[in-house]
Amino acid sequence: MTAPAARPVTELPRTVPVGLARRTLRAVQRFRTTFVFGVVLVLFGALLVRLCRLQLFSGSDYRELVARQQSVDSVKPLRGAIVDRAGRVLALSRPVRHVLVEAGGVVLKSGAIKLTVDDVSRFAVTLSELLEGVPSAKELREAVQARRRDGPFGRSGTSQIVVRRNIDDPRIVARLDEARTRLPGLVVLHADRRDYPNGSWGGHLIGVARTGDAWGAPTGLDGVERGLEEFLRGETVRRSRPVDGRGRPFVTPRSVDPRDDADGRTAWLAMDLVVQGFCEEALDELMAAWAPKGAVAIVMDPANGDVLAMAQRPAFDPSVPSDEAGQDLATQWTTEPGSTFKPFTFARALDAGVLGPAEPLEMPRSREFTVRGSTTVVRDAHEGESAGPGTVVDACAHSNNPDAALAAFRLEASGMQRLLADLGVEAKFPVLGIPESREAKGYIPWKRLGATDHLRWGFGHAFTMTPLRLAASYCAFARDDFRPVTPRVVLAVGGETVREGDLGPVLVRDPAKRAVMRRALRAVVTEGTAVKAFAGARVDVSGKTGTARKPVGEGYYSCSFAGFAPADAPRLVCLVMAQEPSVRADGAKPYGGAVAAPAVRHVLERTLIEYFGVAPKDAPEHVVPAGPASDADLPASASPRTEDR
Amino acid sequence: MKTAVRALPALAARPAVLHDARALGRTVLGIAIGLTAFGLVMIYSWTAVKFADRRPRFDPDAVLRKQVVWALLASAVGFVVSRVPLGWLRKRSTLLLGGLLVLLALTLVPGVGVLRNRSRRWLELGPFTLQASEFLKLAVIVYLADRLARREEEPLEHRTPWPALLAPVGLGVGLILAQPDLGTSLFVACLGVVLLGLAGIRFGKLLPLALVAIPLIVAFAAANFRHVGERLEFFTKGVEADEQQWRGVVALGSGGVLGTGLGAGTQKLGRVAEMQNDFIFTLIGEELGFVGCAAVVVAFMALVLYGKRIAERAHASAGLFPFFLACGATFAVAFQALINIAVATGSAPNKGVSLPFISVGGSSLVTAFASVGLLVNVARTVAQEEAGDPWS
Repeated sequence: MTAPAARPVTELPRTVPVGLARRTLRAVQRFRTTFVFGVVLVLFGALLVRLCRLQLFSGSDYRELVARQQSVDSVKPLRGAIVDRAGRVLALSRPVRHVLVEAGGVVLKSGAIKLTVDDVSRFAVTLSELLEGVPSAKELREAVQARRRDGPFGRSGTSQIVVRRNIDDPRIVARLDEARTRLPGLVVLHADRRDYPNGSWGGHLIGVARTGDAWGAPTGLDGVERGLEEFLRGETVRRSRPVDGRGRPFVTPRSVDPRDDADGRTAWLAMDLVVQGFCEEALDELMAAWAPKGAVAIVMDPANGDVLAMAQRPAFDPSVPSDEAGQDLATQWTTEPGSTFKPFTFARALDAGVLGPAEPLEMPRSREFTVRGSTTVVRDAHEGESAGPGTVVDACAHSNNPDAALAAFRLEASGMQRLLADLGVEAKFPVLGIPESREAKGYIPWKRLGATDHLRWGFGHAFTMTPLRLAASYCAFARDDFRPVTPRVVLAVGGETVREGDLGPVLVRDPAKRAVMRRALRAVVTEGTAVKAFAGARVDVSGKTGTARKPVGEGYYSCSFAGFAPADAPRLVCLVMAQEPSVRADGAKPYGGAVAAPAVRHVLERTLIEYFGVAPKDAPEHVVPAGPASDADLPASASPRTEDR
Repeated sequence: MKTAVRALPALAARPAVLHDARALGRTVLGIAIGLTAFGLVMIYSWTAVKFADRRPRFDPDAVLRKQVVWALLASAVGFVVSRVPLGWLRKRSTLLLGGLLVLLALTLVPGVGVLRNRSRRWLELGPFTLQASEFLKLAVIVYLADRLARREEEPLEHRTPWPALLAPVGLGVGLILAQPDLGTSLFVACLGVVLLGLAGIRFGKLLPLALVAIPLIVAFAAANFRHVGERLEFFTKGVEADEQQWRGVVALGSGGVLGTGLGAGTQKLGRVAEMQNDFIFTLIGEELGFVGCAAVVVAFMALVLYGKRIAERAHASAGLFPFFLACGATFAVAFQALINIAVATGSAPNKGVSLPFISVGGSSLVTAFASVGLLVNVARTVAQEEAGDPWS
C-alpha cells in the first residue's frame, strides 16, 4: 500500500489547537484513538457489570418470574373401565372430541363485534377438510352464516355452534388438537364417551355413568358405576405445565409430570359375561312363557360369594341414553321368600336338635298350633291327600307347610328370630360396587308381631328379604361348612383385590345333619316339587321351589327356585324369582317349580356343561376340567390384575 | 526442547503478535470464526427446540443450514476483502458508496424493496434477502477513510470542504431513516462522527455536528414513526415499558451463573420475539448463564483490543487510510455488539440491531466478516510496510 504522496516531506507536521496549546495532528489522532477505544472497552466493561447484576445478583428474581410462566390444568382422567372376571369389557370410556365453531366474536368498545372467523368460506373449507368432509364446507359455511343472521350474540359477542360431536377417530383427533391453535374460531372440547358394548346384559348391576351437559366427565348414576364412582372417576390432577408465549404447554425433559397417568382405574367385576348371557336367555324364555311383572336371576359361586351373573327383567340398557334403570330387583325388591325359606327352618331345627333327622313327620295338610294361648291353623299349599308320613327330607321335598311350621314351633319365636338375624334378613350387606341406596333390607313387622307369626316365618311368610340375600344364604347349603356368604360383586379395583366377604354363622354343625339337608334339597328335584322341571336334567341339581300367593284375591306374589349344582360337589348357586307371574296360555299355574325351576336348569346346565366343561350326567365318565368360575381357575391373561390398567 | 526453553523468556517478554502484525489479523479472524461457530450452536439451540413440533412439515434444520451457507459466503467475502489491495479499494471508495446509495434508494421503491414489520429494508435476491443498509456501513467507512486521509495528505487549498465531504454520508443516513431504520441511521451517523473525531477535527466543529445531527435524527424519527416514540419511553418508564425487551431481560437474568443448559431454555418458545436475531444474547444468557455471556463480551473486547493494535500499527507505519479503515471496521463491529448487548441487558432502548457473527441473518454476518477482512487486510499491509516490502 502506498499512500498518495502529494504533500512534500519537508513540510512541517500539521498541528491542531488543543486547549491553549497546539499539538501535532498525529499526536491528537493517537490520543483520540486511545481514548475512543478505551471508551468502547469501558462500555463493554460496564455491560459486564450489568450482566453481573442481572444474572448473579438478581438471577433468582428472574427465575421466579420464569417459574410463574405456567398454566395450571385440571387434567380430568378418562373414566376407568369395567370388565368382567375374564377381562371382557362391560363399560369403557373413550376420549372423544366435540367440535364447535365460534360464529360470533368479541364486542369492541365501539359496540361493534369483531368476528372471530373473518373469512368464513376459507375457514369452512379448512375445517371440513380436517373433519374429512363431515360436514361439508357448504354446510359449515351456511351454518355459521345462519347463526350470524339469526343473532343475537351474547354480551361477549360469542355464539358457538356445534359442528360435530363424539369424534373418536384418532387421526381426526390429532389433527383437531394441532389445528386448534392456528385456526381462530375452532373450538375443540375434550369429552369422555362411555360405551356399554353388551347392551342390557347386566345393565342393573353395571349401572350407568352419564354426563349432565354432554361436555363434562360422566358421573356414575347407578349400579357399579355409582358404587365405584370414587375409583372409576379417578383423581383430577392439577398439573402445572410450562407454557410458551402463546399459552401453549410444551414438554421439556424437566416438565414431565410423574402423575401423567391420571386415568381412572379399571374395575374387575366378579361377573362372568358368559354366565350372564345364559341368565339373560333363561329370563327371556321365562318372560315369554309366564309374562311376569318382573324377574331376576342371580348366579353365585358358593366358594367365595362371587356374583357371576345378575340379570333382571325389565332390563336396563345403559347404552340407550333415554333408558332408566328403575328398581334393581336383586337388591331392592324385598319379598316373602315363600317355601324357598323352608330349608333354613329345617336346618336350624335339625341343628338345634328339636327335629330329628329320621324323625317321622306326618306331613299333614293342616296342623293346629297354640302359642301362649293363641291358636292358629297352618295349612299346606298343596291340595289332595298327604304325601306322608315321611322324614324331614320328604317334608322338604314336598314343601309341607305344617311341618315347616312345626320346626318353627319347636324352635320357638326366639330361635326363629335368631335364624333371621343369622341370615341378616334385616341388614344390608353392604356390597362393594352396589350403592348403599340401591340395596334394600328385609322387613319383619315387629310392631304387629303376633304370638304365632314365627310359625309362618318357618315357611317363608310374614317377613321379606331381597333375592340377593336369599341367594347368598343358599350358598350355605352348597358349602361344606354350611355358612352363608357375603356377595362379592367387585373382584379388584384400584389395583387391589377385594377380599372375600365375611361368612355367616354355621347353619348346621353336624356333618350327618348336613348330609340330611343335602338329601332333602336333592329330593326336591328328584321326587318333590321340582321333579318335572328337572326331568332328564344333564346335571344333578339340588334346590327348593317357592311360591308365594297373594294374601288377597287371586294371583301370586312370586315364584322362585333356588338351587345349586352339581349336587355332590356344588360349584354354582342359582336363584330365579319371578314377580307376579301370570297363568300360562295353556292354563298352567305359575308355581316356582314351573316358572323358575326351568330357568335355573337352563342356567346351570349351560354354564356347567357348555362353559365349565362339566361332563353331563349321562356321559360315560365325569371329567371335570378346570373352568373359569373361580379366580384360581381363570387363565393368567384373564385373571384380575393387581396393577392398574 | 532446549531451544524452546531458551525462547520462553523472550516470548513472555513480548507476545508474538507484537512481532508480526499479521498475527494480529489472524487473531481477529480467529475470534470472528469462534464467535460465528458459537452463533451457529446457539441458532440451532433456538431452532431445533422451537420448531421441534412442526416436523416434518417444517424442517428446523433449514434455518441452521441457511445460516451455515451465509457463514461460508461471509467467510468468502471476508477472504476477498482481506486480499484486495487497499489502494485499489481506496480508488473505488466513492463508487462503492454511490452504488450502495443507489441500492438503498431502490430498497425504498415499492415492489422492489421487501416490506417487513412496517419497514422496507430488504432487497430480494432469490432465496436470500439483502439488507443494503448493512453494507452502507462499510462503504461509509471506506469512503470516510479515503476522504479523511486525503484531507491530510493533500495541500490545504485542495481540501474538500466538510459539507461536501459529509454530504453523501448524510444522504445515506437520510435514506436509511426513510426505511425507516433509526438504529442503522444513527449507527452510520455515529460512525461518521467518531471517524471525524479520530481524524483530528476540532471539537468546536465536531461537537455541534454530533449534538445537533444525532438528536435531530432521533427527533425526526420519533415524530414520524410511532414505534420509535414508544421505544424512547425506555428513558421514562424503564425497561418494563417494552414487552419484548423486558422478556429478554427476564430470560437473560433467569440464566444465573451457568444457565439452564444448552437447548433447555424456555423463553425462546414464543416468549422473547426475535430471539434468534436481535435478542440472541438473551438466549445465550438463559441457556449458558453469566459464563456464556461474559465469554461473548470478553471475545468482543479482545476483538476491539486487537483492532486497536492494528489501527495503531497502521497509524504508525502504513498511513492514515489503513488507520481509518481499521478504526472504522473495529468500531463497526464493536458498536453493533455494544448496542445489541446494551438492548438485551435493558441498558438501552430497544433497537433492532443484530449481534455480529452470532445472530441469524446473512447481511449482518457478511458485513461483520467484511469488517474483519478489512482488519486482516490492514494488518497484512502493516506487516508488509513494517517489513519494508516496496512491492506490496
